[in-house]
Amino acid sequence: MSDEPVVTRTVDLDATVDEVWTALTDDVERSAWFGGDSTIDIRPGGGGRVVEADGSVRRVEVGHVDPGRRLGWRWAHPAGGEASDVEFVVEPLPRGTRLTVTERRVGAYDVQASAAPTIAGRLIDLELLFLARSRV
Amino acid sequence: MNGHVDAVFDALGDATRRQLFSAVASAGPVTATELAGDLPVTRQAVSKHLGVLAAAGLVTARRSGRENRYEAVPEALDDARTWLDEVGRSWDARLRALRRHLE
Repeated sequence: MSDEPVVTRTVDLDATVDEVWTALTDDVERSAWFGGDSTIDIRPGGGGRVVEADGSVRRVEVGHVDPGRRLGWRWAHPAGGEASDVEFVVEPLPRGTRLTVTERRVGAYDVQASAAPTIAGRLIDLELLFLARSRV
Repeated sequence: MNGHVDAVFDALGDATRRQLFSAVASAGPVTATELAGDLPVTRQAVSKHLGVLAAAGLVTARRSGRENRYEAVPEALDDARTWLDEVGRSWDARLRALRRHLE
């Protein structure tokens, strides 16, 4: 067993650095391979959330962004109460692109509520507003 | 999954404690004095490290005469191993999906 709470995966992809970077940073693209609705404000301190293929939801806080090279975010465990730091490193290969993902457990931590509410989140807000109004 | 997993990783994040944990696991019930004889650390340091391993649930102490005898609890590693397995499996699945998406 690894002595550190770290998981690393590397994949060589038949795609350009730009295509891989877009797949990570563009909401529509990311949602396509993550499996669920994904909205992240890609800038240091930006918030967001991802829905995984199994329907579980994770809140996200963006750490660092080095366009075309590195992207780091902290995300919450779907059950809450604990988080881990994810880093993506994108490197050009003679043919294709290497992507390395590292996830390091940071332990007990609460990722703040999403700064970029998803469509579902906005609908809930609308519903609450409607309920509040109907009571007046 | 909770603070227990963090305590296990923290405890094993130190090279001396890792060595000590393996020593306890292979020696069976053993005292701090016996362990200090085999390792390049003082008996006091061994006791302190054993305290951290015990707090993480990785070893248990049983009074035996004037000293505690320590035994390893390998099951304490299960939750930490589960965390590593789950996170690894999740990325394997996501990266397979990413490859399909891009290629």
